[in-house]
Amino acid sequence: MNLKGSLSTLILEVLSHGPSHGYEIATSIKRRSAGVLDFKEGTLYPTLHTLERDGMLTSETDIENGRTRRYYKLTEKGSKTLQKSTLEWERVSGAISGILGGTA
Amino acid sequence: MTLEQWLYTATQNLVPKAAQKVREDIEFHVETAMRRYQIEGKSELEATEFAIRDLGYPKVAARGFEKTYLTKSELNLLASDQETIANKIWLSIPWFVAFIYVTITNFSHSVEFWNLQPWQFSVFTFIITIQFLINGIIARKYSLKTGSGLI
Repeated sequence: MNLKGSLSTLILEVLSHGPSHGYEIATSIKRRSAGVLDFKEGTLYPTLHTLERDGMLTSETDIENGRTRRYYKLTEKGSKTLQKSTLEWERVSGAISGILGGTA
Repeated sequence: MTLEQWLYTATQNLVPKAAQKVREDIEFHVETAMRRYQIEGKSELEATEFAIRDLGYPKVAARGFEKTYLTKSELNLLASDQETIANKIWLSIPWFVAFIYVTITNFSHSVEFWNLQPWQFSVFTFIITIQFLINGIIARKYSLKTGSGLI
């Protein structure tokens, strides 16, 4: 399924449960959607880095087995954006469901 | 495709600091994915192949990164712009100081010499001051961009 536009919100949602690194975020989205939301993992990082640039996330690094591991953490701004995006998504998806289900 | 080839394609146009950050994230990602595949019973070679395949096309990732970070060509453009502005400021400083000095110390003589009205002096002073301020604001804006951590 094409995640274009929704990936930011999904990343923010995953990080609302605690700091995480890219691989964990990717597997969490796939697992929680039971594989429906499948995407190429390389496309996750541009979105992650954009969210960080925009102040939605912060990152911290530590070294594991000589490799730099970067953890991403939700900021206050990211948390507010997530709340707004979730409300907007519920509004839009409710409207679409209404039309497709024939109740609207 | 090797991890090195993937990383080269995805980061070749980025400025070094951004490329390094992407490289660190992807290398850790692939290593974690490889460990997971090996736990599932894949050989090291298969695990590497699967982990890199899961990343997708590096050109697609590159397009995403280039929207977020400054590219090398953008940095060069910015540097040349900065140089032009810095030169403008540098060249305008002595003219500005000399003009103010002449205006203040020898105002009446200058008026006579150039056959100018006092209001014309005021307008010239105003224009030069504004130009000086605009150059300063533009230079400040660029220095904020380059110091924003994106390069």
